[in-house]
Amino acid sequence: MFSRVVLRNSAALSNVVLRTAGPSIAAAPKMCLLHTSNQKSMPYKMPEHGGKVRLGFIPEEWLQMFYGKTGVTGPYMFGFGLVMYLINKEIYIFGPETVHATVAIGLLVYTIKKFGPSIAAYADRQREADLVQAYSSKNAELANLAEAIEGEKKEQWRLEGRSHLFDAKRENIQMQLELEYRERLQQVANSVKGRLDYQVDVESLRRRMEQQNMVQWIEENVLKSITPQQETAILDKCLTDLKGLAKA
Amino acid sequence: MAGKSVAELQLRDVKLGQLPKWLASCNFSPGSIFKAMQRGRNRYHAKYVNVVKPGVAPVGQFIAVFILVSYIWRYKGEKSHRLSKYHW
Repeated sequence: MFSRVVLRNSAALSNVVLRTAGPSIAAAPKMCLLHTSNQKSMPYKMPEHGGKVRLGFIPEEWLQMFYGKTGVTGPYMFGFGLVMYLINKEIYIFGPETVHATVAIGLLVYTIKKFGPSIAAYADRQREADLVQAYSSKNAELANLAEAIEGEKKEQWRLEGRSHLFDAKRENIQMQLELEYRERLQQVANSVKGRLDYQVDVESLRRRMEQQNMVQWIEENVLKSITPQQETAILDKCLTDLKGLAKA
Repeated sequence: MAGKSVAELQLRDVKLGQLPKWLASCNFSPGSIFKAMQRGRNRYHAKYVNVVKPGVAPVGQFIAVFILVSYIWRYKGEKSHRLSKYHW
């Protein structure tokens, strides 16, 4: 997909191609203008501080020229000498303008020295806020893409696990089949046992009925067979036995 | 390899004897004068203005040049306010 884009717009998107071929996005700096590993094609980067000046308007390079020949006090002596020459020869004339200049320059220096740093800090904060806002959409996009990459990797990992999923499902189904089989075995055993129990109960019932019938019939017949003279003879014997026992 | 011929030297590297030759090799057409002024302005801006944290240099230098140039323009009238006519 990226090669097609590169073929359509030739050089402007070489950076995009380099970006996809370069190091990981998570390691790139957050406030970089271009994410390219080809540093030579980066645009001009502003230096941090400007040229140094002494007394607010004299560049340091001019003073450096003196240091070699005259040492550190050279430029100040030169300035002093120049000022005295101008005043003595009245090339610079003292007048009302001088008073005006003194007051103005004094006020200016005082104001700058007092309020300069705070205003500079405010400007720096504004610049940082602007930069953050300018890069926010880009960084948000980068974060989104990184998240998408993570999602893709996770999907790939899930895909690998799909075969394990099918194995687990197969085992599950087999276990269910086994369970069903055993349940049905149990059912069969139960029903067979039920039928056998029925037979047993029937048999025991028959025997009980026979026993009861026989006992009843025997009792009846025995009672019938006891004739009256036997009854009196037995009763007499019982009485004599009892008397004998009472005596003993 | 810069400066094999006199024309390619910068003014600070030109020796005094080579000065007429160097001046002759300059291009004084209005277009190139304008371009030279633009180069100077860009150099100044690159050094003092187009930085992340500019200092007091542009303001101080502007005020100094302002004072100097306005005094030069006023000098002719100020000469009559001298305290003494003759100086050593």
